Amino acid sequence: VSSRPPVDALRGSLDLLILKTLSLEAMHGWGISQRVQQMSSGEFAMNQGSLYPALQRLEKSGLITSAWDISDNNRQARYYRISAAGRRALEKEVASWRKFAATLDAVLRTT
Amino acid sequence: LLLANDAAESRMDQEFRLHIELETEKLMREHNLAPAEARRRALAAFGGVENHKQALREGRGFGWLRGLSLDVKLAVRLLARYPVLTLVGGVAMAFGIAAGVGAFAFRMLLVDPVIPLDEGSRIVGVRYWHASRNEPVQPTAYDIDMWRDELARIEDVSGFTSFFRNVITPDGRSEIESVAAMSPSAFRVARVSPLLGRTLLDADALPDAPLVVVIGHDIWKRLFSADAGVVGRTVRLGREQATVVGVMPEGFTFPAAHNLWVPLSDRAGVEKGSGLWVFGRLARNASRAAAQAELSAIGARLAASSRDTHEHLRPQLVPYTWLLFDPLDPDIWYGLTIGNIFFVMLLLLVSANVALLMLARAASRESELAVRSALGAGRARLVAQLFVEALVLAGLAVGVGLAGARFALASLLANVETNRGWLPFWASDSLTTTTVIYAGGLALLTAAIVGIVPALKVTGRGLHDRLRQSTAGGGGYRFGGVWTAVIAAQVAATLMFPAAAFIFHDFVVAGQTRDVGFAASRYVSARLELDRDRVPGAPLEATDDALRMRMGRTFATLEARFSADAQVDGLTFADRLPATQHPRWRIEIEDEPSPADAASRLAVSSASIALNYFDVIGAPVRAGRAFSAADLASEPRVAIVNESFVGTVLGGRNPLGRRVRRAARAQDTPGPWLEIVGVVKDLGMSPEAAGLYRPASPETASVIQLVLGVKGDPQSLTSRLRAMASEVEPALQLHDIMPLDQAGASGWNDSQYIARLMTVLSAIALLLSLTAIYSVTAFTISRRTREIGIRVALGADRRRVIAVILRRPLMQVGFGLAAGAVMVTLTFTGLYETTPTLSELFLIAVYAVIMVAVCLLACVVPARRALRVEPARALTVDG
Repeated sequence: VSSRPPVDALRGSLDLLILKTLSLEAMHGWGISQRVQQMSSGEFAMNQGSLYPALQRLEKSGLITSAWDISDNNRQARYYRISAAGRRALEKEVASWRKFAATLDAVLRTT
Repeated sequence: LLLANDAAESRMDQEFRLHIELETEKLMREHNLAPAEARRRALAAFGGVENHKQALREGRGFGWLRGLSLDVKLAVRLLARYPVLTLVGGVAMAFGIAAGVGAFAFRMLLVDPVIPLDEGSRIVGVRYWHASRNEPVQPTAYDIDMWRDELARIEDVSGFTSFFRNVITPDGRSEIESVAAMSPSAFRVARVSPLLGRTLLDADALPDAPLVVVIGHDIWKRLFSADAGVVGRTVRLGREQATVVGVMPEGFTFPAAHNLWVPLSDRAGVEKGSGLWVFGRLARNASRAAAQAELSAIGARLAASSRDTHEHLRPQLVPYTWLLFDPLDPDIWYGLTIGNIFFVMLLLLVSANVALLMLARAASRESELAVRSALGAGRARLVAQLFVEALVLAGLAVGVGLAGARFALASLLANVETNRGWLPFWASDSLTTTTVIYAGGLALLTAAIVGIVPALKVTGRGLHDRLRQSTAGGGGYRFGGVWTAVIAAQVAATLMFPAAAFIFHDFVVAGQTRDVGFAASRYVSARLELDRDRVPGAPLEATDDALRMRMGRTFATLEARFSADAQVDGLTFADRLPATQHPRWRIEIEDEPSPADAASRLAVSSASIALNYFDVIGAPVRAGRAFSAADLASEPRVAIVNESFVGTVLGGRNPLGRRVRRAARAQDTPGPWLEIVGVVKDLGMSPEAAGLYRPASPETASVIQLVLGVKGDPQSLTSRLRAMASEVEPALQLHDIMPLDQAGASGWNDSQYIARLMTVLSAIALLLSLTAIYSVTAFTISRRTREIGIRVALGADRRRVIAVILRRPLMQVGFGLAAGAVMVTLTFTGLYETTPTLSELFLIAVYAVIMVAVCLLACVVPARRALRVEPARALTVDG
């Protein structure tokens, strides 16, 4: 059995991962993708390009903002930053995720 | 929006590129891969670049825009694919839009024109409204003084009045010009500086100031050869000498169409109590409503304190131009409304045309629409696409339509200027923003009618059933009863419009070329007027009496001077010229009870003429006697009638010795009895051919139309007449000098213009209608190719097949022709009160034949094509 989660679950958690990543520092798209892979120890194998629609969605709902800046190696890059609303959403999501995971875990134990 | 779209695209590209580069570098670094291999893997890890781009584009939220641009592309491609339909539809829409916009722009010009002066929209008119008589009343100089003192929200309250004067330069050149006697402050209202010298000053309007005049650019060039030293020179205005103090720049003809300005004062011949056009400028930050409130307060106070003069007068703030053309005036309002109705009808006709064309096209694309619908396109999506197509067409049409409207407006204004001799300064053929917006709205409306209605019809319920049928080889969309009615109505309207135009045109030509019964081309006519000089301190009637006496004396001198000229062969006058409109009288005959048909039988034209009138125009009295000096001794008691009078009014009985009088009207006493003393032949009276003449002298005639017999070339005489008259009397004005045979026609200029306009519009409407009828008929026939194939395959006789096919279109046209004939008849009897002549009937018949021929052609061409096709192939034809 593969340890990979189903795709839908991944999509739902991708937003969470991005917010979590950005809660530490502002990053550009590639950086985020590296960090997500790192954090998930390579378990979340996905197209790196799928990140961008998610970033666009989050920016539209006001959870993150973006601005063009110069990167460490002197290149134009778009940096994403978490907003105050994003932080609140992250806390809430993390809490509800934990609760959900705990419930699921409890259910799985009993059966 | 498109720019924003481009920018977003390029940012997205940049972001993706950076990502892939960074990933490539990482792979090269960590896995020691060659650049090409690293890049390949980076791209693979990224996933389909285009897919992600598409996801982002959709996420950006302009999906509908791309759908729209796709629709537009599709629409343009389709328009190019059916060039004839596009051309006809486009021209039709452009025509409709031009007509609608032209009418709207003209209306705007009357109702709310742009005043081409600095902050022109803040110039306002002030007048009184008579509360009990319900009509406007002009304020006087007293009112102006009062308002100027008391109004804070309207500045520089000014007034003007307008009259004609002979302008005579020191070297003897003479022209009649319209003079504005105007408050000097009016130049401050207009905010225009003079080109040379100065404008009028308040001091110029003081009672004992010498008379000064400011001249317009036009006069400066024509009468003073653009002399830079004109300021300080004198010019004669009728009998007065005036000093030129300034020249206004080109194009300045404020307050209406003026080229000469004198101060509004007694000195310029303006009574203090006479009515004036009053205007001013709204003070800074003052609104119209606030100014009106201030005016009303003053008005209420005055109505209470001066009951005898101001009890019913309510001061009213109006747009400046309403002083001269009040669009609420019943006559103007009526004309505007009738005009608008005509254009709306025309627009409807055109829209119906284009809708038919579009329906035909939409129906021909039915399978395509059905397939798209089956693939999941909603009805709204399909309708939107057809709407966009119509909109693209309408967009093209708007450009052409605006140009057309501008051309029409320019031609209309040029016509008014030719006929009236002047145009107010704000009359401009340039289209305002409002008009352009209106044109856009019209285009949207047209697109909605032309695109959405057929689209709804075609995509309505049954689309899928029809798809099944058409793929199975059955019928497809059929033009139902509604469209039969539309086609029939179209034919009827197409018959009626040109017929009405044609008949009206005939009517105008007949009026213009009315036989006046004598060689009118050998005579020259001119209207004679004298400056109305003020008699200081005298009441108005005294001024009128003095004017009449002076006219009598002046006329005698003029007669002597003109008769001495070698080219002049007789001189006389009348108050109305032959072939022009005369006052219409309803008369009574003494000792004769008014019969039942009196209303039409006892209406006659009337004219007042000089004693020698019939001698000079060479039409001697045929029975009885001519007028003699004795007839003028007191109020005239005699009349001479024409032969039509004897025929229609008296039924051929002997008129001599009978007495007639003008019948009493609503609140009027009847005229005095007049004894008929003579009979002359008909001399071009209208509106009634039957007429009576009364004797008049220069003192008693209300209008003097001079008639001069000419030896040799009339042109060489007309060019000298004005100078000759000025020599006799500088205050004598000769208006409208022209050969007598043109005087009649000149009264028809407006009608002629309208007739031409109607002819042109009808011709275009006709062409469009014929094209639409042709296209739709041809289209419906071509849809029956399959059926024809089957019939022929089953061995049907070709002639029989054609007969079956022709039945329905011919019926449609037949219905239309019948309805059209009824409408034409109604037009004749209702509008022109005549029956059509033989030649008119013939032309209408020819016209009907042409229409049937077009319909036949539309049936036969596709039918023949269908017959020529091999039956087996016809069966494979779609639809």
